Amino acid sequence: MEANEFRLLLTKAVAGDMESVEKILLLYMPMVNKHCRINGYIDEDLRQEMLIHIVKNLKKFKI
Amino acid sequence: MNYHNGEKNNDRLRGEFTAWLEKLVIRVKLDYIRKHPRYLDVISIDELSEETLSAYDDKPKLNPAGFDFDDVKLEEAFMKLTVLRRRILTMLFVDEMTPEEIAGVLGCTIEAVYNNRSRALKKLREALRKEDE
Repeated sequence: MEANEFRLLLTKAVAGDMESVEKILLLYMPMVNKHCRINGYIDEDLRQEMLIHIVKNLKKFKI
Repeated sequence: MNYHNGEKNNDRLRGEFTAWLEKLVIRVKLDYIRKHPRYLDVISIDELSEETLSAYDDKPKLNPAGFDFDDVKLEEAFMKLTVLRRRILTMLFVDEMTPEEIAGVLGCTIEAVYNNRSRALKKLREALRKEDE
């Protein structure tokens, strides 16, 4: 993804556009999957918790 | 080359956002592990390997796994540190873990990790200075 395209997407996501939020989540899903492993296994509850926190806190990110 | 063009700034934005998001995700994970004690491993002492048990000996063996000491004095000074401080230094400098991750593993605050780190390094410095005098 081009840098300008990312800035636009992030700005929309921070403003609360759910479609952009979804795209950001998809973009960062590998990072979420990496961190939601406990003892080598993906913990679905933890993944869900992470996604909820990201959606809730996204608006706090200052561009 | 202009380092302040739009492209560069946006790359920085992406980097900042990635770092922010990773911090958030790690914090959620640590909170989650604390709230779910089932993830704290409980095993019988018989199942522990000799290598693990030897780490708790009164007189620890020299050269713990991971550190490759060139200096014998440094190695001796390191072994005089408490088990906790040795573990923190090993996790920081050998395993290259962040203070946040170490705090999660040890179940203490990040400040405690920083405090123990600086006190351990101070002890090492003092021990080496004494040896030199």
